[in-house]
Amino acid sequence: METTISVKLKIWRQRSPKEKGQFVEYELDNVSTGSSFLEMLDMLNQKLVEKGEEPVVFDNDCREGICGMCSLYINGHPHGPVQGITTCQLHMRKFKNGDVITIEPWRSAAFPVIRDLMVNRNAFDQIQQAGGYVSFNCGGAPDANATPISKEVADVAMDSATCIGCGACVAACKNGSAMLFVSAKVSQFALLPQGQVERARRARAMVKKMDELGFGNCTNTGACAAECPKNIPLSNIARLNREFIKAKCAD
Amino acid sequence: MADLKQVEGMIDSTPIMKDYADIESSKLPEYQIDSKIPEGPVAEKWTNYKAHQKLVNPANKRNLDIIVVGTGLAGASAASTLGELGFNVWNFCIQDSPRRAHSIAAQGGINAAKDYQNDGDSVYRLFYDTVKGGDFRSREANVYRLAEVSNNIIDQCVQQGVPFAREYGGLLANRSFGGAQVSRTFYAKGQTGQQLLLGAYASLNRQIQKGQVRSFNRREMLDLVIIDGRARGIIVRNLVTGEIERYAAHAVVLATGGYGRTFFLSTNAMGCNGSAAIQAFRKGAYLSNLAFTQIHPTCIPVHGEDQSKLTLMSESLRNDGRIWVPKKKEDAEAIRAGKKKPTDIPDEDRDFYLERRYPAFGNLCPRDIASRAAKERCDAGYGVGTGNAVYLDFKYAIQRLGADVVRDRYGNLFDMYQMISDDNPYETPMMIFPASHYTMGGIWVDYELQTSIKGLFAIGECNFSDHGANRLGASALMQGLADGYFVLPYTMQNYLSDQIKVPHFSTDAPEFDKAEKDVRARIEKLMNIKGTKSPDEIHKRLGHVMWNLVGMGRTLQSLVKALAELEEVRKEFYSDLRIVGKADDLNTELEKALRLEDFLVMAKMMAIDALHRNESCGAHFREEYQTADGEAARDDEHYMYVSCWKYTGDNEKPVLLKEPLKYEAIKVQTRNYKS
Amino acid sequence: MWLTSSSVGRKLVMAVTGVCLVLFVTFHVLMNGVAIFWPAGYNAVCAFLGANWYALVASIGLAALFIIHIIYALWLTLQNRKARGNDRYAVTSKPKQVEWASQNMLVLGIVVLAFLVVHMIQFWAKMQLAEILGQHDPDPANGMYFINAAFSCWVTPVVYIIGFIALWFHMTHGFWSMFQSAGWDNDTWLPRLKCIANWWTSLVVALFIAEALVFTVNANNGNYANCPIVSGAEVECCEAAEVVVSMEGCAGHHHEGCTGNHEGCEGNHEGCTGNHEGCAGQKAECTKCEESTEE
Repeated sequence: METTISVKLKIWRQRSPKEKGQFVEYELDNVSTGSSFLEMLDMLNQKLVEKGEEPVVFDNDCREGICGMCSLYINGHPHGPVQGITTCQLHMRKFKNGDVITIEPWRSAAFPVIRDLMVNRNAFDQIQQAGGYVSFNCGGAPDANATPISKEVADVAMDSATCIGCGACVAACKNGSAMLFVSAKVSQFALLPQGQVERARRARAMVKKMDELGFGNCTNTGACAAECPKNIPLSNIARLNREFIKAKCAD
Repeated sequence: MADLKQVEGMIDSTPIMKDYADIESSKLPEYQIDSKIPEGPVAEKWTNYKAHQKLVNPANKRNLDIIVVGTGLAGASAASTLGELGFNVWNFCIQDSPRRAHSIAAQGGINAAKDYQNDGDSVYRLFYDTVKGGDFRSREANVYRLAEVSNNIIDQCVQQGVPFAREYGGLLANRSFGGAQVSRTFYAKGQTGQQLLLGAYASLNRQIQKGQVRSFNRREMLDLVIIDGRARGIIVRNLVTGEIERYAAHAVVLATGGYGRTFFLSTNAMGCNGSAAIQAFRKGAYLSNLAFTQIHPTCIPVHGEDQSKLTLMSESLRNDGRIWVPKKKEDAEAIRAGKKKPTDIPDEDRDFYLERRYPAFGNLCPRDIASRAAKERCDAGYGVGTGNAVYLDFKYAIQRLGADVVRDRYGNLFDMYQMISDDNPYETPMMIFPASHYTMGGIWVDYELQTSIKGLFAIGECNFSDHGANRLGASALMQGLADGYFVLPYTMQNYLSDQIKVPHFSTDAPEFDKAEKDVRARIEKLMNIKGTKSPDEIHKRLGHVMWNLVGMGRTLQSLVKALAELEEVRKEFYSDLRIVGKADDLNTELEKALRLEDFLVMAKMMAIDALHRNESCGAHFREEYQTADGEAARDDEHYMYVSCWKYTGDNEKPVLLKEPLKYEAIKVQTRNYKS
Repeated sequence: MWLTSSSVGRKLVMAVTGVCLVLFVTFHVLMNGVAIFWPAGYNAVCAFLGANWYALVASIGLAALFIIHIIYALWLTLQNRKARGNDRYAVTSKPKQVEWASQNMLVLGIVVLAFLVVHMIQFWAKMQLAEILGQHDPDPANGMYFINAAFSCWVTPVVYIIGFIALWFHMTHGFWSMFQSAGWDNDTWLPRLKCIANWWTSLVVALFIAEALVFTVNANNGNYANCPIVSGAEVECCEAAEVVVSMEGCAGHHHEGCTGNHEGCEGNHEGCTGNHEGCAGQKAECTKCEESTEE
């Protein structure tokens, strides 16, 4: 049954990438356990605005776990303590009355903080721009059923393609590595026949861009996959390694 | 007004009524709206058009700049395709990445007339279903073209690497969707929109890498710049720095989505807004059919006042789920009081009202019908949950198919439901209720997708074109991608062909100065209200007015009342708004306030459009116009037209223009999903 | 060069050096077993791996593997710390799927390295290094002597066991991780590799610990002190064999072939293969041989 709880929030406030940030504590009462975590933050912001204070800035948009816009490192976990969901899908019934909730932004050199809990994830776009596509012009595609693809392969490709680009993998990784993100896209195309032609080129280009942008090296801790809201498996990283090593050996 | 006498008979002659009663009297000569529909039979129009349109040669394409606002299915596909053709494209979005546009949240699928299932589908049938689903309020030529290019979309997306669902034999799988008797919907789990958008985003990325498209994130368009009667640029606010920036181009494309968040609570993303449409409206673009707002039948019911967003459960659930409420009122009351559980109600005491009322389509009847039927049951006192919910039950599907098959088909949706509601849908029926979801209305465009402002194009949900009064499931993705990949890149050249001599525009033109000055003045005005209410508070109030009075069932009285209340909300906004923070800085409150200001205009226009349309059609249900058995009663004689509203001034009444709808290939009939 | 310039390449280097080191460690634990069951054989291996050119080449190769592994580890860690940014999380929490070892590989590696330094001072410096430097007393090839010397002090097993535990953690993660980094992994094999990694590492480490304990017990009971092989005294084949056989803990039973009729007695002096035919040139040093010749 729905009840209301009181929570104590420790939220990271930082005005700009260059300024130093610090934690600010807030107390919030009458939070319905049926409301989502972001609705709870909306409530807090409403309270702050009423007091004439600037609201806590955090990215959010679709609020149904698919756009990848929301972030937040909640009590030591990207997207909060429940695995397999995004922050916007987290509900307050997962917290108890009196809980202290620490909310931090993604912390990674490649994701500088813009304001408070909002970070700049433009690096992800740049990696995708380096090669996350099949190069062909609109209009030139053959009939969709011209190339059969086994259901198993299509399903695995779909699982990889499910990545929402939220950056939780980087946030969870103690090395700030983006391997899970990159490998998900490389895997999708490596599995499908449409991606074969540019397979080697894609792996090389995307890894190169990832390294350039200052993401860390993967040390196979598996925190990325464990915290991924879409449960992208770690085997994608092995596949990316394979693709990249094969591409380099073929050079 | 067509039935002014009747109106006067029904309500008091309030001042509001007087204000809007004479809208018809400003009637301008008919046919002054030129929708540029090509000659010939409907099946040949597009072919003829393409054969005779003017093109721009490759050397000239590089000299032409195009601004595309929005990066959803329509925006991303248009930007990438225009880039592929060789135009210089400037692409804007309000999110932190083009991939986050709200198209990503579309779940169910995308229609195409491939007929891979050999079940009798064809281009004509998709066209017919779409026009019929839209209750004969869409433009025939556009819809036929949409059905024609639908097949190319699937080819395009598969080549992009979109992992559509497949059969064991390796070919593409299909499923059925509301409003159709064939299985023509292609899908990628429950994330079709995501996969299609990521496909378009991939193509866009390729053009960005090539330098053909320049991508600007976290930028919000605040004004359209018109030079000599043509759209030549935009003013945007950099959402990170708060700076006002100017961008110039030879043409501007709006792909900014729908205005569903006028209702505050909707399935739309928090950032979705109708602002670009309102800016275009203020500069002379017509807004059309705004009353046609789709209420989606399968959303998770509202839980409380703090809620800011409703979650949609894919319509595909209606393939295997059965919708019911208790047959006996006392059962419904017991359930609401928590004394009974849905599983306590035996089958014979369950009212499968969709199957009862619409035997031919059953649970798969179109969205507007399913939504209204749910509302009708709840209004009659049979609702469950808080009273505003009905059951969507998978017990029967699990009996028929087994839990594993159901899990395979809908597992992620069930998980999502359980996460939000804390109920296990494998054991207890889901609760659903209709919510604002999609807007069929929008910026008026001609056959070329050009608005009434030269050089301004509108594609995707933000235009009014293809869905008439009601959109069928899995057709939004189809329309967005059709516009972006296969229609606009052709039709735009017809306009651009005479622009090749026009040099690149400078943003120093006086028109830009003025537009920027206006934007700054507007921001300053809002910042200086210094009232007490946050934008969200006022937006919630707006949402209540709209949902209660301009929602699923509208009446003359409710609409008149809505206009009066909207005026109150507007006054509150301009007198009591409070925006904390500074204007020239990252300021989410200011962003909300600016969008809300536009929603207020949109809300008023929606109410006016709904008020003027004295008929029920599709999603627009005027309760006074219904048949004896509660179905929508259309008035083809008087209202078979597209309403086009022309801006005349902030405090002036808009002018109504009409684009008559002519059906040559389809016999107009009453929509019937019963048999 | 992509093995240095790309993150995947750098990880591949870690993986390849890691594979070699796992194989070396495995070889090492097997060799240690020889010291328990057949001290004389162990000394023979020590002699074989002395300052011979092939042993030196192998040693240099091994050292290179270690150094590359360590340098890359430090380099990767520095890069990774930089990638993490300046502000650290105030609250962190490890998901249950994440192995503790995987997030502490550097620390574990440093512990293993510290152990390795102690180990090298106790053995390598006195054996191969001494031989290179031309020191012959005590005999650098007498591995058993150094085992006795090292393990008679109680600190040694403590340090070793700490080192082995660190090695267990380091290797359980490193083992499957090297397959992952080399791209030789998938959803089916990941759990299998983790399972193999655990078994392999546990066996290796269990053996190491058992060996260390046996060495300690023997060394402290004086078993080695009495053993002529260990003491390094010039012993004659069968005499030694008798002593060994009689000696508990010196694992002399492995000498069981050396029952006085020379069968199988091949360790203590080269060439004496037991049946006299092959016992060429060293008869003078082997009284039994002389006797049997006289017979």
